[in-house]
Amino acid sequence: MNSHNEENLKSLILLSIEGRESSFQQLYEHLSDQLFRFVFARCSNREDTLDLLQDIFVDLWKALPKFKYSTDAEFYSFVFTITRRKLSKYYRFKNKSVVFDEKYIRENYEIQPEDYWLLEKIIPRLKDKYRQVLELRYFSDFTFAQIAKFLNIKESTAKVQHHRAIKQLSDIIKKYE
Amino acid sequence: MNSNINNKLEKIKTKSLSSTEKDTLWQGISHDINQENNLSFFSLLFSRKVVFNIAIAILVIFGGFIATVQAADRAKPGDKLYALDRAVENIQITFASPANKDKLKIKFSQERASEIQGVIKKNIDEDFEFEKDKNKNSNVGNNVGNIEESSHDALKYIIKVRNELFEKNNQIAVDDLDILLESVQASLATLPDNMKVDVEIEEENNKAEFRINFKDEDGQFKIKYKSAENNKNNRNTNDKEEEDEDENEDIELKNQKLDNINNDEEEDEDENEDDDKDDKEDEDR
Repeated sequence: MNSHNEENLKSLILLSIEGRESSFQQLYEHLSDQLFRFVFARCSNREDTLDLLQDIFVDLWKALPKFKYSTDAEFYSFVFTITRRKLSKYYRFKNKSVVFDEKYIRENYEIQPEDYWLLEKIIPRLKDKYRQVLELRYFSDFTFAQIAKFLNIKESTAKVQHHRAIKQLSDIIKKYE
Repeated sequence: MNSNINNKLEKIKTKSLSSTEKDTLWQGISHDINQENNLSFFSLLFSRKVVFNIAIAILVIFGGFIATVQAADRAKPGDKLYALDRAVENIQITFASPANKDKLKIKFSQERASEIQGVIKKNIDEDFEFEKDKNKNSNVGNNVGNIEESSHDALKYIIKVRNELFEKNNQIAVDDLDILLESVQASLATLPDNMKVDVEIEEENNKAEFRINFKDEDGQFKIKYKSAENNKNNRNTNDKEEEDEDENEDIELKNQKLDNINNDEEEDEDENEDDDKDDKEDEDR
């Protein structure tokens, strides 16, 4: 997501708005990894994530003519609005559950299964605002600027909350050990 | 400790999309957006959602109009939609083929007759209710006015159609309309005394004329209505018959006893109502 500088991203967005498919493909290359992580962190099913991503990008293409570019941040907000809408539809009709066994974790994550299970137990015990920042920062690979925009908070606040979340997490792990 | 946790968190990232997954995903997206682009203006216009919205709009606009016109078709003299009913009929006649024009006029004449008969029935029912319960407010005055107006309109319409068809030598239709006029007369005869309306229909120079006599609680009134245009044969021989239809409509109101009404009394048109009352009082004495 960070491979394009601001000017490139703006021109890609504007050309995509005009209906140029090759520019939209570049935009897809730019957004797909982060969107994949964001969606996968919420539906925990690779197949469903790929289906959802396809729908999200098609919806984005259809919605782009209505989008008026002002800043990149506005554009990301626009993209994640579409994504959240798709996810909320998905939750309504979701009837699959995934077992996070060793095989599944090794296939989908870089982390060791025992570390995953530990974090999976501890993170839900954090305050909601800290948990959200950690999920966005690590599961979805957001920058602090993106987290701030996504949660509608200041970037400095996002950094402070991240710092406190890590500290709280360390305290809880100490108690476990 | 914090750095240890940070390391673990850094690794909790989901593995990125493989290049194969990315390509396959793009092919799917590209296929879908091209299908989207291929939708022409008309196919977009007639997409399910648009068609649904248009259908709803049409239903609301025309459904409302049709419902109003249908309601107007059932309207009776005195109803708010009655004028619309008549207007719709006139439009139907205007746009009908010459062959259908006469059929429509006969049909609407029948409607006029059934409307006035409906008004008569309603008034008789109301009068019956009033007789049962004298405490109720009497509506007789209004009813008489309503019957007078409705009878006048209905008979004027039917006679106009009847005379038009007579000019066209459509004797069968004329006979039917004469029967219709008689049935209206018969219905008017069923009215109670306090709202009596007597109708005499005469044929003069091959055209129908009628006069309506009715009385209310204060006495009797006579309405004379001289019907539509004269037929062509008489037009050249009689100057009076060359007058416009509106000029021929001559309504006279007189406070006279119903029994005394005859053709000679038409000459007494200029007498005022006070004189009539005095005469009546003298007679009563």
